[in-house]
Amino acid sequence: MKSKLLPKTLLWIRQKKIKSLWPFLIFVMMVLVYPSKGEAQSSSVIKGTVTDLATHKPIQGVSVLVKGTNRGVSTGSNGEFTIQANKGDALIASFISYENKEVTVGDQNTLNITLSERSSTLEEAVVVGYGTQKKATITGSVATISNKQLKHSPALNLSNALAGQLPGIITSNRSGEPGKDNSTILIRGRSTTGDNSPLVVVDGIQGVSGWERINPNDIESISVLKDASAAIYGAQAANGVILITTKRGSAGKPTISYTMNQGLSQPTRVPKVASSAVFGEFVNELLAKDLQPPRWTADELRKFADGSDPINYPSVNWYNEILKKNTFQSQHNLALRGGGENIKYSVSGSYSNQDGIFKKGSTNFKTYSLRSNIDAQVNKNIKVGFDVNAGIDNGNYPNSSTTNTFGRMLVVPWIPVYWPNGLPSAGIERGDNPAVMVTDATGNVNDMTQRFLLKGSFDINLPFINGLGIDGYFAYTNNTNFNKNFQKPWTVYDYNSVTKTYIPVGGGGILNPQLRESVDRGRSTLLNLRIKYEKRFNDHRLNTFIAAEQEEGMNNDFSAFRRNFLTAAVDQLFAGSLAGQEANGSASERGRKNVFGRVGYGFMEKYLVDFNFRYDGSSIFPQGKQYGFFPGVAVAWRISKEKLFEKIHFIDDLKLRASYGKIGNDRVAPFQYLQAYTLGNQGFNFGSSPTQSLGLIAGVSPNPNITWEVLKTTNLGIDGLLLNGLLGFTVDVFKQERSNILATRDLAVPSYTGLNLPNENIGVVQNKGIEIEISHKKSFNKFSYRIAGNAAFVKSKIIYISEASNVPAWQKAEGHSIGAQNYLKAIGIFRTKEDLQASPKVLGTKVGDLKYEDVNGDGLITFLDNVRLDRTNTPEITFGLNLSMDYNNFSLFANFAGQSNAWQYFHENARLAVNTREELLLNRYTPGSMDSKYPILPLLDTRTDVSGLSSTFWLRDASFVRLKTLELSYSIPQSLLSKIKVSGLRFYLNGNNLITIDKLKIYDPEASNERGNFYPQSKIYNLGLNLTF
Amino acid sequence: MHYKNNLLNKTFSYLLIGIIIAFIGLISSCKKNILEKLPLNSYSEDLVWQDGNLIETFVNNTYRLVPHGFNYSMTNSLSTLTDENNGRANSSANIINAGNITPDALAALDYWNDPQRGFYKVITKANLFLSKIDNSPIDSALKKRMIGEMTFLRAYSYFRLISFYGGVPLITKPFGLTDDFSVPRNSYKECLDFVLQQLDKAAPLLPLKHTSVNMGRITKGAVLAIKSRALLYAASPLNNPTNDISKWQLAADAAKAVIDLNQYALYPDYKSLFLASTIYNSEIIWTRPFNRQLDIENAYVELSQYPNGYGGFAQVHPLQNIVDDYETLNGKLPKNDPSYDPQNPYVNRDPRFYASILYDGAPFKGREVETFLPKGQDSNEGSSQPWNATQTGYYQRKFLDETITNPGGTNIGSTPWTFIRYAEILLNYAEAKFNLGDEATCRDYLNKIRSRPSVNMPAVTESGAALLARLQNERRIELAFEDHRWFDVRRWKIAPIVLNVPGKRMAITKNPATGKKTYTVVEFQPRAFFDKNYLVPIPQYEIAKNPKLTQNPGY
Repeated sequence: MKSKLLPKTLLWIRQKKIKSLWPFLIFVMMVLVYPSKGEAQSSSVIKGTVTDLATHKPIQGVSVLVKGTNRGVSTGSNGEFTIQANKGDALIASFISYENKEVTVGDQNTLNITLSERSSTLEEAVVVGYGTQKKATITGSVATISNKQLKHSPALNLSNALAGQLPGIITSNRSGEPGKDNSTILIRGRSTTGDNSPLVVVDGIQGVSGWERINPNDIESISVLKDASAAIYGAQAANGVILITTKRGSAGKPTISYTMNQGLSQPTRVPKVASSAVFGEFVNELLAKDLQPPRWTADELRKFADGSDPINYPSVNWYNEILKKNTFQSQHNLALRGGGENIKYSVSGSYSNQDGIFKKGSTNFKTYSLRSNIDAQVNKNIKVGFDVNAGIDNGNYPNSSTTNTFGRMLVVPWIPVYWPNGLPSAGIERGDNPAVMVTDATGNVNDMTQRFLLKGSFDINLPFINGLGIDGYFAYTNNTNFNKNFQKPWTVYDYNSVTKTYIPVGGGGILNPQLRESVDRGRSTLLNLRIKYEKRFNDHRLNTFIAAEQEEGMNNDFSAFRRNFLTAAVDQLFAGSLAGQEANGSASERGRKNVFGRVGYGFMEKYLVDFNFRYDGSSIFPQGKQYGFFPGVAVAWRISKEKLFEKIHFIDDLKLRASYGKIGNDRVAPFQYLQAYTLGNQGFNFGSSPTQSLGLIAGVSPNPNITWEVLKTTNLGIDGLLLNGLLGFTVDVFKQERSNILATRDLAVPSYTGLNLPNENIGVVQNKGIEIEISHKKSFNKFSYRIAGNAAFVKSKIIYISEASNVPAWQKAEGHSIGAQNYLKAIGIFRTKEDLQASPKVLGTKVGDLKYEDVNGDGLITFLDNVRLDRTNTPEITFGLNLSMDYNNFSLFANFAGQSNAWQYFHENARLAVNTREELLLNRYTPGSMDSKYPILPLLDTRTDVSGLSSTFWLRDASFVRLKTLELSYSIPQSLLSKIKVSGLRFYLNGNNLITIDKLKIYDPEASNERGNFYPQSKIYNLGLNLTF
Repeated sequence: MHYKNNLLNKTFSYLLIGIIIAFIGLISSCKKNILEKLPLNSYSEDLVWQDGNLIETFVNNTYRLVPHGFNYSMTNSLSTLTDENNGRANSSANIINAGNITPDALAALDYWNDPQRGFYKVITKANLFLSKIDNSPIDSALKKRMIGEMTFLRAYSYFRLISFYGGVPLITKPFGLTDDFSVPRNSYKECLDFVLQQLDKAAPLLPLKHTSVNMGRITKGAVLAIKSRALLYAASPLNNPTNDISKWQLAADAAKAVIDLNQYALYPDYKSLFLASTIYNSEIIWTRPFNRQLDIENAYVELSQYPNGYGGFAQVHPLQNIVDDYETLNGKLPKNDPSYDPQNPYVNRDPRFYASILYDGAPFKGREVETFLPKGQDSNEGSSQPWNATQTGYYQRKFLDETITNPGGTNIGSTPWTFIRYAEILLNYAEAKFNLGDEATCRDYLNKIRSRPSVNMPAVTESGAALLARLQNERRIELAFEDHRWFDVRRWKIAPIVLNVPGKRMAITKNPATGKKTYTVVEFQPRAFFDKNYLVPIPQYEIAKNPKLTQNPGY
């Protein structure tokens, strides 16, 4: 019916373009180009195309205006326009989110115009909680990143692509293991002693797991709510909210876009372990200390050093033998998007494949995902949407954990990985040769997660009251994790040099294969309904809604186990022995129910106020404590809109913001108000033939008063845009006070009480900080660039926490950062007997041990001399610098990210069987040394040796600056592409973690494993292409 | 068009009304409040204390929590903290053996709250159980038995605690979250009196023997046996400085009470007495069974004792100090026996030496143990994991299930931990009788131990101080590595002598040409004992929480 209203031509276009767009496009081009010759003289018809400077794609809907007149047209679907203008007239091309461009009409009748995108335009829509706001009128502190910026990074894990891009967001990548390489993300630092992870919302679904695996090509934008604007998410939002919006179809021709990435990854840094000569000498020294005979003679040590007998006296670097130089990874994304007036669609499929860094290793991680959505305009007032998303993460790993494997790589260097006859050596002990441990000889752990989401949504404008509408959605998610752990014994060999025989050694700790399979299934439903009212009258703008939401979740899991498989040939449960088989299972439920809303009011886009609230209820807490009210208010004053500023031309926009809100955090184990008893395999082997039995264990002592943590957050901000958009800045200062922090009183309650302590609302923490973002950009004819820098400082301070009453003031946690630990202050190394005798010391201190400060002055070094220090591995300062440059068809992007005021403790040690870094051994204390860098090396994992006590000596500065992302790309010119019916083709070369400048040097500065036994972070080199047609 | 628009508007209105109703319904929904959830993975408190089966699983878990001698992260730690064993590269053992233990690093001696060693965990469970059980409507026979078991386990835990720390806070009721937690220490006597009173309460509630499925539970005999040990410790010089003879009488009576039960007898074979294959044999009074193939409990006996050449980690190695205290077949200590040849030290020794210790040349699993240099397979020049070799020249054999090859993971034996066995009762009785002046009975009971068929050592004939020395050495040898030495050297107050001497090892060099071995005893490990070390310090983390807790003197 409606189509009658459209001109026939348009109808024709609409029908045709679906079938075959290209002939039509070419036809239009011909029409546009050819007749332009020989047209009128004085007031000529100017024809042209408007394209994007960077992508060279035509832009539809650009307004082209003859300056000083009302004469204007807007560009068609190919970016073409036709306008009457005289020579010397200026044409102004303007389009939302692009820089205005002025071009003077010359002699020619064709005038092609390129526009460069504005990256911080005021008109840009920013996704906020349950809605979008114009950047110009936003009142809260919201950091955003667009699809464009995200795509520069070759990291296959979305959480690793965020570093340095969003001010106030701290990302720390602790491991590079495929599938387990999520960065931990903190928004404005740590402000609770409990769970600090932000709430992640993907397309309106809260608490989405696996968001790190969304393909960047499918993401429209990411917004981070840092202040009271998060109050709309109520009891879950105190750690900040990350809003991910994925792409949907838009009206226009169907676009098929294919992106391919092929990358090579390398470990960023692995420790340089000691050679046989160095470690052999150290072993002799250790043995001598215990009055044991030496392991190696001087002659043997010399053979190690000079390599004259590599068969009998080898020096093996196990890291080099086990880790590959290069590891492949790849990623593909194919998307079809488009739509007409009434139906818009988006279908996208992604695949990624990541291998492990081990030679012959079985580590591999693959993801598959499908995201599809349809939006239909049923009639003028009704819109419905339907989303189906599915994803599979499929990881395969060897049976030994990576921590264990990396620990075992510190095997003594004089043992070869393989004996000359090719048999694997026995490694450290128990057959733990890491070269075998990384392969499928150990069995296999298959960890597969399937994610499924169905979402239906509607949006209705109520015709009788203008501006009134109802919308809502229903979502069903079903996530299932399958874990299949097949363990196999393996055989490695020792070589008896006396009898010249190989002695088989069993590995894996079992005699026969065994299998454990488990399934964990989580389902949830989310129902959201909203009544909204949006109205402009004169200078007033009202934007308000009230909504209700209900979420229900259910989890159940079960597992089965059989041992003593007759053969490893079939890795299925049936093949295991019936004796000793096990089965287990459990379930849990949760519910959440809330009402929330917003009142947004703006006057002349000058005075702005937003009030958000949520009345949130959660099944985690007891009745009477289930509901809480979380309000947030934000105001902004666009001071540049005041009369005063009309004459200050260099200021385009200046906005002052302030917000205050109360938000909750309910990340805590449920049902802590009940006395529950759990039954498990914790009984006792009674009976004449002992076997397993059940045991009952009392859960936490009930806390009937448990409720959420409360965050009171205050934010003051200023946004400015100067010099015609050349310079933009944002500064935010904030103060957050988290109270009712859910913590246990285990530092204060004596353990003889035997209490299994519940979480109680006891802590108070204050966070203060500042975030600055400055951007500058400029475009010339063919060249444009943008520089954006951001920096944030945040420091937490514990105002109150339950702690031991009877400790010295300098050990109290109060007044310190969250996570601040007690350390002895190392003030040197004892070099002489005289010094040792004259100084306060730990019992058992020898010359060569660390010398500590006697803080309490009692002449002894004891636990009383520990001092609480604000040195944690959560950085206080984070910063990022983004550079982008476009020249013709080339563009360059670089992102530096860094941190400062961060420390990591490394408990470095070595012992008879465990090698360590060569630098540590070479610089260890040896008797008589007056200037060794290190003291007598601690022996064990536990911090018990005099020099291995927790002290500032082993606390390392983890500051760094690293080139997180670098990308160089080239777009094939449109003129070439049109001949092959391709609308866009871009090649790029990019990389991740390419350069690191840091003080740590020995491990990756983002490491958190204090023994250095972790899967190293990756450096990635990637080649990609993006093809659109 | 008009018609259609009307229809549309009508549909629309209905839709709208529907949505609004749904909306209101959602907000105020009362049908089934989705916030009313309950845990699906646990039982509520009311349910538990009404159900005999569930209560029994609660009791069973309490048994599991009782600290035993194998549960030491693979190092049999009490033996490494005395003159029995050396723990290789065991920093915390070295600190303790040097007399340098501090309240903030109890390490292997944290019997207070350590996850595997803490006795207060047992006490807490017993307190909770005993506060609930009286009102529980369960079968009375089961109730009676369980009260007996839990009463005993709590009493045993307190006895153990006071043997390490002296008096401790005597907690007998469960704490609530809002209670005042600062409790002072009770005296050693108050605690001991409580232990004895509770043992007396438990004994009549428990049977002399359990049915086959309940083997392993506390019996009346176990209660009386622990009472015997508690009274012996209480009568000993450390706790009885005035040598109050009546205390020795109580100790003698308590030991005799166990003997008079006529339930127990020495098991003929000293070596297999400890193994899973002979669990619940005639000598065992209370033992801790394991099934480590099915239920791993961090107690890897073979892994922590096998020589490196047999795939073991060998974290504990007997010291030359204890080897020197195994008599020769002549019933004399080697140093007193002229027939002893220091260059052929392992012949003609007490059979318990061969059962308890692996030495160079000991036949073991198809070959001889080689701790000699150079290139002995079980020395630090062996082919297999030489860094795990012994530092003393010996390996501990007691408790090993020698059928295990290549130990690790679940490939380990299930040797039970024997808390108390009949031989100790005989030794307790002998010691009490000696102190009561009845030397004949003392010798008689010592000789019962020595005449076990597999031991058959010459009878003891000494008297006076010499008899006391024989008595003490007999206990050292018979109960070696069984967590007795720590307490015995303290209560006898001989720790300043025996724990103040260096750890010794045996260096053996073999002439590759002639095959002749040379034996040299080497002092290799400085050790020290100070008066403060009679007691373990109260953990600093606990004192930090409670100013009323006083520290033991000297720490």
